[in-house]
Amino acid sequence: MADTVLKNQTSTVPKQAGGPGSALVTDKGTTSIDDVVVAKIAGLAAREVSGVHAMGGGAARALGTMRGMVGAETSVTQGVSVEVGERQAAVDLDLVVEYGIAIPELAAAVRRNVINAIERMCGLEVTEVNIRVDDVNLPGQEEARKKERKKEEPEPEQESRVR
Amino acid sequence: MTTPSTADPRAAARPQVPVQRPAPARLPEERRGRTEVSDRVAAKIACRVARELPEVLDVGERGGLPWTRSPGAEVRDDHVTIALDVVVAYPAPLRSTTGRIRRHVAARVGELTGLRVRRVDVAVTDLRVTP
Amino acid sequence: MTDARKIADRARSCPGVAGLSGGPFGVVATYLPGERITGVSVTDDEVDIAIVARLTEPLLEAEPFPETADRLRQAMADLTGDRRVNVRIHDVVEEPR
Repeated sequence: MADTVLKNQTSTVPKQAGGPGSALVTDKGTTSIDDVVVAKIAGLAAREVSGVHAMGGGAARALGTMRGMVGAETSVTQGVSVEVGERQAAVDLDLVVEYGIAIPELAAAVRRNVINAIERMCGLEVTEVNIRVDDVNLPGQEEARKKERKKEEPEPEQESRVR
Repeated sequence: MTTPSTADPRAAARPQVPVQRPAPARLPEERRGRTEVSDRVAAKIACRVARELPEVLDVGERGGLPWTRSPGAEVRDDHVTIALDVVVAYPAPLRSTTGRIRRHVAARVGELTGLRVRRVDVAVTDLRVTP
Repeated sequence: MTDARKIADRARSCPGVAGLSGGPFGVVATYLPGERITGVSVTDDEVDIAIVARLTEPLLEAEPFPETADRLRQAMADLTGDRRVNVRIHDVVEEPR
């Protein structure tokens, strides 16, 4: 697929002056950007907005936590999916938001930051950023959950078992 | 990627690859794309804002943590219906109290989610004498 | 075809480039006797380069990819001549400045 993108761009795509996308096709050669790169930029930009607590649906977050436990860091592309064309991109985001922030305003801020970042960094026009708010983080929720977990599973006596 | 595409009706409606449009007047960034709020989010917010009223002692909870049990909210397009179980302080005039809860939850959920609140059902499951 | 090796070395020394990459399936590569140069392929009128870009933080100040690509083209202009240089950003790594 990547191969065809390169070939198409070199031969058939007409040049267009101005606007995002124009920097990608020049007479000196084309610049093409893989989906994962666009997704990483989107993930980083979304996380920059305060009020975004985490990203990804429940299953993805659970997986991320498991990965976190074995040492790898949570992927920046978690909760992000993109479709990238030659000059345009569309983004879907799954968010967990902090309680107390009006979701329409938060979504607008996320959209602005993600669109600006992708258009500036990748030179692609972003046609849409669809946002799904999958969960909300209530104050005190995390601590209560940890307490609850401790109650259920008392600390294992690690030392004695290891030795 | 992580979007559960099978359960997502949007996925079918969306073109596979962004259409290469001739770039008409571009929409402002804030308006490019849809925002969707899950049932769980609407329910958790409804539960939480109900507690802002002093006469509400407990919401949607009979044992367990308040957020582990969803009192029920259903989001359809841009509107939501909510059902809450509440424990209220005694003595309190029941009818006016449930009315207040309904109005307060509708206003706050609307404000925080951007959804139109079509209906709030309030069931008083217990009365508790406050010290 | 020692060009490919020189181009690869030149690309790797560009500041916005964290490394070269063959792309998925390693399609971008040059095969020389006893050697495989990943991330560069050269024909008579085109040079394809696939890179892993370096992303500095904050995001707002990071160099846009088209500019990174232009710098690459400039850095190897004497090697590539009037061939078109197609740059593919295959991946990105975050690096604090």
